[in-house]
Amino acid sequence: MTAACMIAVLVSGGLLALLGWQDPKRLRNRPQRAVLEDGTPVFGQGTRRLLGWLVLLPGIALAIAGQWWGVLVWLGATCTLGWIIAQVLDGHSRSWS
Amino acid sequence: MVSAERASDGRSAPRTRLWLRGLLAGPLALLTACLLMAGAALWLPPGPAQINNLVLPIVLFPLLWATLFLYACLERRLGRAYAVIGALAAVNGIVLMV
Amino acid sequence: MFKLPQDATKTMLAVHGWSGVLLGLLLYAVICTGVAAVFATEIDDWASPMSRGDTVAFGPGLDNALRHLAGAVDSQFHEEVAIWRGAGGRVNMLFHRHEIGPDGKSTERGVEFELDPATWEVLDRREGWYEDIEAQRTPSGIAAFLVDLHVRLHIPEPYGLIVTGVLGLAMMVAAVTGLVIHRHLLKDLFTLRVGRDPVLRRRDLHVVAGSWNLPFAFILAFTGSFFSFATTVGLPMVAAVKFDGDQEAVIETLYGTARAEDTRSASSAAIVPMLADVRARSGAEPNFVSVEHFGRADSTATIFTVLPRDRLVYTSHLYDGVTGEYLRERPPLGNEASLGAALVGLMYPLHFGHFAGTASKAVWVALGFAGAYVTFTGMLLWTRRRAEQPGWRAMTRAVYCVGYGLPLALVVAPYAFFVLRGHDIPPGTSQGVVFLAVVAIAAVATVGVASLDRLRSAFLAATGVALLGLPLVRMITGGPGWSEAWQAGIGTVLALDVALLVAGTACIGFSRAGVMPVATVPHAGPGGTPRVDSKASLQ
Repeated sequence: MTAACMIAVLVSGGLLALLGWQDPKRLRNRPQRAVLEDGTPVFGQGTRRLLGWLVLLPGIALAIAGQWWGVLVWLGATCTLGWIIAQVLDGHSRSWS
Repeated sequence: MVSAERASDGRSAPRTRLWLRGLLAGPLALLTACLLMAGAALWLPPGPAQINNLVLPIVLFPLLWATLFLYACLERRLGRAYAVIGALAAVNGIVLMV
Repeated sequence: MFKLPQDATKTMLAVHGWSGVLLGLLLYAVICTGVAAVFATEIDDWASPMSRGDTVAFGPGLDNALRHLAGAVDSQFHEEVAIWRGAGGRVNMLFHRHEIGPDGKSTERGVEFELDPATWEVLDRREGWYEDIEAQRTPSGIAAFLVDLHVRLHIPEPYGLIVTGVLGLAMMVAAVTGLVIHRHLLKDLFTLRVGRDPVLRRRDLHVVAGSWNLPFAFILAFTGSFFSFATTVGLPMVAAVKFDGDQEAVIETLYGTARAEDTRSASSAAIVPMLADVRARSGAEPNFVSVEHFGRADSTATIFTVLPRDRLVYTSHLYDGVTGEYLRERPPLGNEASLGAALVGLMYPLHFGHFAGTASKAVWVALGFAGAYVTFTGMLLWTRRRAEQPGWRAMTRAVYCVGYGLPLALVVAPYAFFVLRGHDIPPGTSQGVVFLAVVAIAAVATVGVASLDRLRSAFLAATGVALLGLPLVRMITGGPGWSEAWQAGIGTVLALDVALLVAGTACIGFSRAGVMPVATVPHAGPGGTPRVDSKASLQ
């Protein structure tokens, strides 16, 4: 994995972590004790949309640079990170079954 | 599929229509996809390497079937679904026989 | 995200559920084995390492070995010589000719040598029909077993490929319908509800994993389906339409004829300089050489490499087999670039994930694992919601049996490989017997045990113990220890041993972790009356 691809994955992963951390629906559905004091997320809808588009930007940059294999690694790694972030933020270790 | 059948065709024979739709979405869609694949080998332009007509239908076969399958499931008018898929099968069948 | 009419959504939900639940158990097996098969090369190198880790498979001495061994086999097998890097860096050299096999189908027959790349000593000699030679390739036995299970579920051809092709289609349909039935796909990407209805939480866990995995579920299903159907359905149909059923003629058209036929004898050019030339041209390491008509005036050599860093579609390099002159770069199909060839070439990296080394393979394993998780949770979600019906209760047990028993069987099977490696039993047979035995034990246990929670814990713990024991049994049966592997530079052995230990520990950890309420599936009570442990199970 080249440095560019690694940076792309880290940037998108970081932005996803931010989005997940302040995801309004996730915050609404957490147990009462875990909700933020004022009960509202830090980011407004506009900021969330901007962050959402920014998540895609590193992949687009890799595509423009012609690194198609990098785009694939970035897409796969970002999707995997998104799932991991959702699970980690959930914080519940109980098994599915 | 049951709900779609009931909504569009009343409650008289939903089970029969369900089977008919299943027949169309499953084996008939598969048969049509096969005919499309074989027919396309004859009517697709071969391209500069002279292989596009042989390769593209094989590559796209899973997509062809999936599209026909979903169309057969979603088209509210079962008769029209049979007509469209049947026409596709017939056209390619004729191409293959001529 | 998509706003279909309510009826259409219900239809799609039904298609999504049924496509998953009808074929889900087999699909789960295909996905699990596919996840492991991503690292097939590394598994081979781990199971059957050579004494040196830095061996270049196609080093000096290759040409001498080729000429020497060509003289040792019947000249009819000079029709084509395939040379490739085998398990642990061994060099496999297969002299063969194309023939119609005993079953009336086109295949190969010949003699294969397995060589030490450092000394060029012949380690093994195998001959016969290709299928027989393949079955005798002991060093690559573990990966071959996994790959065969993944590709055709060990069902004879062409039926096995057709079955896995249908499974690919079902997975594709499940992915597409999963996308369209979820109206708030983006909004729910991080939503895992807790503390309310356990059924909702289970649904969330399935949906969140499925949503993140959607693009790749589609890609893997589509490409897998292509690989299964291309040779079993596509090629015969196109051959029937365009070439009067002559499949050899289609293959010749697709791959192109390298040179006009000339049966006169001629000495062959050296391969090693061609390999050096390919390295310089592509910047990538060659991994497969095919010499056609060895020792004839029309001989050619085609050299393939691992995918160069900046490319997704592989090409090969064609040389004159007599003069050694570079002829041209060849696309995957045909003699010049085309859309069809590019698409076919793209299928390989998209399905195998081997285009960027360990990084892309690791990502593909993670995505495959997510796919297996989605399939498993989807089946449980579907069957548990219908738990009041005895048939679905039995299905839940079957899902548990396969969901937790299959990974256990896959981990235990390599024990047979290591223990029986020195014997005459083909590795596929020994592993197959052990695999089926473990599956049978798992099935009996699933039928007999009342609490599925206990069953889950037991299967996970057993899988963990089996994973922890694999490095040990590898070493006991003659494999290098960690110190020896470190000194010899065989990094794969160390890396996989550590991965197995981590995975084993994780499995044991998971086996001891708590489960959500309502883990016990309703069990038939006295007189066949369903005994339901919780209201939630009925939902």
